Amino acid sequence: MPPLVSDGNPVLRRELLNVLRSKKAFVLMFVYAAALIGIVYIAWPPAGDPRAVQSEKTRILFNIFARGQMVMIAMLGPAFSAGCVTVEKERRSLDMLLTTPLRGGALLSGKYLSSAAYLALLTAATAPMVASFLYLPGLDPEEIAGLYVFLLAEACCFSMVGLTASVFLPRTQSALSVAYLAILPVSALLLLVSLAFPRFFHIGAAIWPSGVMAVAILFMYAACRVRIARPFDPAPRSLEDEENSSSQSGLVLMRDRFPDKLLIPSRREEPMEDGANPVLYKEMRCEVFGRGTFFLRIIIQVSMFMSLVFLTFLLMGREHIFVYYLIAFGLLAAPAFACDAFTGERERGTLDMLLTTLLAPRRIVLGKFLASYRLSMMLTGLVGMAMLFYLFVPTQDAPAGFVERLARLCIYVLIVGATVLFETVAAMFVSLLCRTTTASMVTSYAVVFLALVAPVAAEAILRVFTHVRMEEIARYLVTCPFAAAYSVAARGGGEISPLWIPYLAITLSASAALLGVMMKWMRPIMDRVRPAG
Amino acid sequence: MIKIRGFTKRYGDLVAVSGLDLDIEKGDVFGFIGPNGAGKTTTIRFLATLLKPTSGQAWINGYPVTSRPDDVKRSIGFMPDAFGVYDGMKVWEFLDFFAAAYGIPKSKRLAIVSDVMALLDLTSKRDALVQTLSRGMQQRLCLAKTLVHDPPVLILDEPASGLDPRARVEIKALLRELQRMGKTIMISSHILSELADLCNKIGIIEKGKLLAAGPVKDVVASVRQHRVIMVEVTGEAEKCEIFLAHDPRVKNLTAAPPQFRFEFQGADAEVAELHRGMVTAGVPVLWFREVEADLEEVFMTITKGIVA
Repeated sequence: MPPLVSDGNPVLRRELLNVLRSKKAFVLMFVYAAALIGIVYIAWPPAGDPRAVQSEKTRILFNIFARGQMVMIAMLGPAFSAGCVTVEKERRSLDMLLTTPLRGGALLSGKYLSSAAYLALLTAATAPMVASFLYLPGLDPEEIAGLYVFLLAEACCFSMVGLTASVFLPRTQSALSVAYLAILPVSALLLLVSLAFPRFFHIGAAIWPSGVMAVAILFMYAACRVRIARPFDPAPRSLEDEENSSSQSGLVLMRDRFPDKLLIPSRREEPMEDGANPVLYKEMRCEVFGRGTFFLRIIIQVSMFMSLVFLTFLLMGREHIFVYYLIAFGLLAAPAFACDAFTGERERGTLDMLLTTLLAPRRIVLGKFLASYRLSMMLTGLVGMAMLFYLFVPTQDAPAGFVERLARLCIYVLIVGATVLFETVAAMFVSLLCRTTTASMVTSYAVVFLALVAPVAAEAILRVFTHVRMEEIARYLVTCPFAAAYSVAARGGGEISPLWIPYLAITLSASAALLGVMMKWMRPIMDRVRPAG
Repeated sequence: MIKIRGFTKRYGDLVAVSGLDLDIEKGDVFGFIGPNGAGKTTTIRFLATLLKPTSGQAWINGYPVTSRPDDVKRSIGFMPDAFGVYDGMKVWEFLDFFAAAYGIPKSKRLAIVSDVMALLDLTSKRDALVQTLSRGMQQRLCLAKTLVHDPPVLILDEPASGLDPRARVEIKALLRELQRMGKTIMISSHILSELADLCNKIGIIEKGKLLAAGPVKDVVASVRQHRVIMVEVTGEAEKCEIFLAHDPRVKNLTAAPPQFRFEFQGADAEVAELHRGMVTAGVPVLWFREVEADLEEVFMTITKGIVA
């Protein structure tokens, strides 16, 4: 009987070799470590005694590292694990694995440890840099120890979330989407708690959330073991089966009920209208939820529940924090729905059939774009419905007039809409360049993160550790939706420039440019990417 | 209907297809055969406007493939070797999607979809979700999809691969029906016995080069430089063996009494003369027949198992 963890587990050995020997793994680790070294280099005092640095600055640097790594783990965790089992299902190699003497537990542990190991290694590789902060005043060794206990627990937990989605769902794309959407509320909650408690990363405090995550890992692992022991149905439950199952009301999307029909339009019994875009029709009515909506519905419900938590900030007059939540939701949801626009066609084997029709590339691109954008906006809208409170219930610090509040709300909607637009278009563009949905999804998140979120960290580092003027620093934030939302909220104070205007201009023009490139050069780009045939 | 001239496709140093010339007339059923990696799919993808050639040109229904791709797309129904289906679509929706993608107006679409489903025996599956269909049914659906815009040319890459014997027989019957409807069909397959029944012309490709092409009989004849004849006697096997061994036109005699197999150099009249001679010499011949070459033998003789 093969042991769970040792040389005797062939799945673990193969997966570890695949992950750790790949060039991508080395390059990613190198780039990540180099970026962090760069930050430390910028932040390090130029000369003299490091202990002369204000302890407040040390804490800011530590917090940037800590929260940056939290976000990094949330992004990479599912990317490494959510395809582990679904890829075997898609390649039809899972049955071969399950009919070997290898136990389900060995298969799971092999897949899990190999995906979590790289993430843990990536996290641990930053420890020497963070440990160097001990030369600066204001930081305890217990905090660094607590941070790494917490980060490793988070890496293991989020990898397990990805693996669970991969075990329960039939396709990599759906597993990735569900894993990311599940991780969002948890990450948001953890970030909020870490912001609320300054000593969150102290070992005495960090042990508690880490313990909760360890228990969650055990539960998820047990569920996966039960599932992997049962046969996998070659024709998985479909939306149609769900529609016919009245007993699951509330847990699946119902085409004929509001608000579900906003997400998935009802089926038509007649051919589509002349002039309609067949790709848009296909994507909206059939493709997105073709393999069922059960998990997605749960995620929507959890996200809506989380929005109620963030509603507190709205009622406290800090509406921009609620908008941050919406932006973060869109940040995870939009690429998840758009990143398989072209890779999905490649992987399913439908691309050649589509390309030999008379559909012009611009119609294909437009159809896919409109379907993805509509879906992401609908989901974000559902989660953000609580913003209507802002309009009708005047809160502390909000403008007194209805018209002013409406104007502000419109700007927030524009910011969220433009962010989701850019994310959708960027993910589609990445999908055009990639061969697989997994690669497309990871790259999409990296691009979106670098373009929209990384500027916050860059601004904080420049503001705290350099002498660059504030006006110049603000320029770095023009691509950051969080800064744009904050600039709307803080406008009453008068000291913040209206960043939302250049933000909207940049995201809208970048999205239009990318869409134009896709419409014009879809086939030439695709021909370069497609494997030789 | 299909004309290819000088088609070459390189991937870096690898030459997938080299200087291919081919003619397929209207109404032909052309079998395109070759080992894996020979260049069949590359050629088919080029004809389907999915691949740019390194050099060369092709014309389908009179339209050049590289410069008039939309006219070519209108003229062909293409079935790729590896295809998938869209999740969550019903059978009729799948066909309606492709009919709309070929620009067929709504007023005609419902009737066309119904007709195609009837032709492919899919009517009973009209409201089934495509991902729940069996492999054989999905093959039928893909074939149905190639017909929705009524193209004069069908290009089918391995349409019967992975099917059970019954489904293969049914696909073959469908292709015969399409041939009767006047379609020109280019079909690649590894199931040579079925191609022999179905095709009137074949082309054999290996290592990116077309080794032989033309009517099936001509290609077979070009491969066999001699005839293969089998005889069975009811007795006196020794007498038969001596008679055949003394005929200078008989080569490679294999005796497995009461049957004998040998190669014979000679025309039809000489075969008849040999038969008569045996009977006259008192050899008790039970039967005497020529063994036709099949495509498998032709394939094995012409190709060497080399890939590009």
